[in-house]
Amino acid sequence: MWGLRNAIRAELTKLTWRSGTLWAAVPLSIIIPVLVTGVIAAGNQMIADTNREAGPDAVQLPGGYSMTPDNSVYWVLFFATFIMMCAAVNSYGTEIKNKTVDLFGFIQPARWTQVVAKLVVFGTIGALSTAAGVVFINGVFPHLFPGSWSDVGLFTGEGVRFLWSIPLYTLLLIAAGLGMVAIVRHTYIVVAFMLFVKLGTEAFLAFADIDLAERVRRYSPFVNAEYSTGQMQGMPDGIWGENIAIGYYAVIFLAVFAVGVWRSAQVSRN
Amino acid sequence: MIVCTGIEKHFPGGRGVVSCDFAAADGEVTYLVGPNGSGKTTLLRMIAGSLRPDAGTVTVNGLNLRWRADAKRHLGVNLDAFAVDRSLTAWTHILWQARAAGLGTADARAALDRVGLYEVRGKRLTTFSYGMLQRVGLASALLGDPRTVVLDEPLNGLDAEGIIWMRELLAEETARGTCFLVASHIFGEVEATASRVIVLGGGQILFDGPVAELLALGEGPRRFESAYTALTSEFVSYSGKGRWPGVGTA
Repeated sequence: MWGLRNAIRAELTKLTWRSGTLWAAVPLSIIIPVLVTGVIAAGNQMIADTNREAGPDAVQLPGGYSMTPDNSVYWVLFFATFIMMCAAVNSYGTEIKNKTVDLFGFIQPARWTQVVAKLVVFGTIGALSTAAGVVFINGVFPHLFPGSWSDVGLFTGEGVRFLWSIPLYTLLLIAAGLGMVAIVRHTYIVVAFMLFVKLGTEAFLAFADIDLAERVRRYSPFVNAEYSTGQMQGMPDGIWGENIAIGYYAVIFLAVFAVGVWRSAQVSRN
Repeated sequence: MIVCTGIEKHFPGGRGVVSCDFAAADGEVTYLVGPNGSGKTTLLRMIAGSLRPDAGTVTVNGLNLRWRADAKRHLGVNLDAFAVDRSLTAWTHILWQARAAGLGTADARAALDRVGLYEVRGKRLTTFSYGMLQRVGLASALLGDPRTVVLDEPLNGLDAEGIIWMRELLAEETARGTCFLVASHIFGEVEATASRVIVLGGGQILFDGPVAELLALGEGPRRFESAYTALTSEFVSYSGKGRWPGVGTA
């Protein structure tokens, strides 16, 4: 364990005030979802107010609906998790590209501790930043936009589940990303592949109006991950419950990470 | 001290290192010289642990370092001066390595001080010249005051002052008993600072002995160059391909 402890300390040392992770990824992972959600909430509030003032007999503007408590932090789930995964993948991918992984290998010839240390450090930061986004949106927005967010709360059943399940998803997504970059050695390939799976294949399966596509989609890791957080429409007819869905995608993501750790420990053969 | 026994590495196409036995002693500077592709960096990478030998063993100070917590106290390595994250400062670059090795800020400071970069520790590496990056690489190698140091072309990019400084550093460190194994193409410096020279060609050791013995093999005003050329001529061609045992000729 000495090696892992030292590797974690080395990772923390790299996080100076000039670190892109601290001054770009963390703020963006909070600001973007808060901003997007805020614009939507403000718009709904404005429309709801206009309709209410006009009275029930007047022509109602479309929109102005109340936010349901199981959909309030969708943009945290969409943006923040991937932003933090990209930060972690970029960190390790850059080390591979710059060959500083070799410098680490000269110090700790076992090598595997570096990628595990990155998971500990980036996973913790990612979990905390996504939790901060959830707290801000579910805690503050109901007070800012009472007309459209009155059903949302930080300590409702859905709110509490979001509070731990989204940080957990972020941690596991970072594990999968780090594992994949340890295997394929290129940041851009990993990010492109992850986005392709989530936004390409899974979206395609959702829109393909055939039974087979729907059945395949139920086994998709990202669909299960969103479903496990309690997010609405993640998987309307899930083949298992939300907690089993956590186990399902966690096994997939951690398996990728385990292969990556094994790969990172291999001394080059050529 | 580094001891390589029967160490071999084979690459597709026939290149590699063929059954090398040699030792680099404490308190000496042992140079690896040879044509491009003769196996110098391959040997250094196997000693540093970043390349797995197909056969043979490597020990550093009598130890296999793979699982040792104090590896940095035994072996310091700089094989590539550009192996840095240029967005970091010199201080952060050395400090993270110190942390990874279980060392403290005093060790990081001592390493940067040793190479004359402590005063510019707060500058980003992106502003450093090649010569300064060589010094940063040397600081990485000297971090933790290891008893054995492995360097690949440490003089590249150094100006005249830097080369003189490097000579003095080698003299001071070897006087303290540090073992240096250095790959270099710069014959003047090899001749001036070597205790021992290993000449490689085609992945084999062609000569291993004190620098005086190598000079005795040469003739004319540039005896080192003459001896080196005579030893390696079989393994060098200027048609773009080197000659390798059992692979045919260029």
